[in-house]
Amino acid sequence: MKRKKFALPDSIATPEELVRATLEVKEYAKWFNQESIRRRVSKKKGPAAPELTEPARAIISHWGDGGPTDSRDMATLIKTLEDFKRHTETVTITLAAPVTSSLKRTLVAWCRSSISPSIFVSFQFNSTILGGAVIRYGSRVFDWSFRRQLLDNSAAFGEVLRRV
Amino acid sequence: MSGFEIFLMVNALAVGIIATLAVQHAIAHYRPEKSEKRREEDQTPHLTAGMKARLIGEAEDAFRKALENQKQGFEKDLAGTAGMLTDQLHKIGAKIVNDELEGYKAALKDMHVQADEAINGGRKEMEAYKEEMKAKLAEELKVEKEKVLAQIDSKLSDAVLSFLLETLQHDVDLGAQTAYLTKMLEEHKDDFKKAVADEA
Repeated sequence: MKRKKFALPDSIATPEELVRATLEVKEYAKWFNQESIRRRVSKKKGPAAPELTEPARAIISHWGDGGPTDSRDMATLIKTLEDFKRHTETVTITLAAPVTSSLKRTLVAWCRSSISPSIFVSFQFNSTILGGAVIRYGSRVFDWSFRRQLLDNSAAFGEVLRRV
Repeated sequence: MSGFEIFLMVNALAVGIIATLAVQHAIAHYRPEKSEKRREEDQTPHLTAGMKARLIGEAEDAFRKALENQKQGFEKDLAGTAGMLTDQLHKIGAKIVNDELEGYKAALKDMHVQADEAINGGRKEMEAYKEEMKAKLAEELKVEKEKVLAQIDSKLSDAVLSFLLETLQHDVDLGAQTAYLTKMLEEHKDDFKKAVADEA
């Protein structure tokens, strides 16, 4: 089977969210398979599709052209999601406060457009950094917080004080 | 008679006289007592005892007088000599004392000069040492002052940082930071990409 191109939606940022979405997709896949069989053998209406959250819905709708076509396609989607979870790296962004959903979407969109389309972005907060962000990827850490800038310029504090 | 004959006769006469004298002297030389005795006998006049005593007495008086005169002369000479010796002693003593005093004064003067030189030298060294210590102290004070100022700056900046952390860490508005965060990410995009490539 031809592997379809897959891009994680921006609403799924972390591996945990992908796991949750994958579970929902599996539930949906179960219903989808049953519904496909029912449609082939009967004209009766079956149970309604399970409620999906926006991320799971986005995954299904972004799969291929308009979503999975058959149960094998569904299985491929699920396998792709599981592979994704195993082989995708995570970048951790620490902010000064719990991230808002809008900021989260913005940052995730930036990371996926500028760094890699398949990258997880997890968020933490630490109020002592005051502002900016501390970004960790693998063994590399980029401290662009306000606290780091204050500490790095502490030597200039005396100069500024003398000029005041 | 010729002159020569006269001369010969005079010579013979002189030889005879000389020979006679020579014999007499020889006899006197080889037989002195006989000749002395004979002389004494010949010379001793015939004197009486009284005359002898008177002569002896006069001789004693004269001798005594002569002795007395000699004694006075000796005493005068002795006094004069003693006076001269005393003067000489005084002069020599004074000269010796003067010489010693001069030597002592010269030695004292040298010691004064040496002591002055030592004191001046010591004073100069002390002045130089004082200047060196002053310079060292000023240098150390300067270093200490700079160290203290640096510590004050450091403590002050730590205090300000702690104050800012304490004050600003609550109610942080991330919405206001969104533009800053995206701008910062854009500025460091290349660093980030390189890190991702290195980790891969």
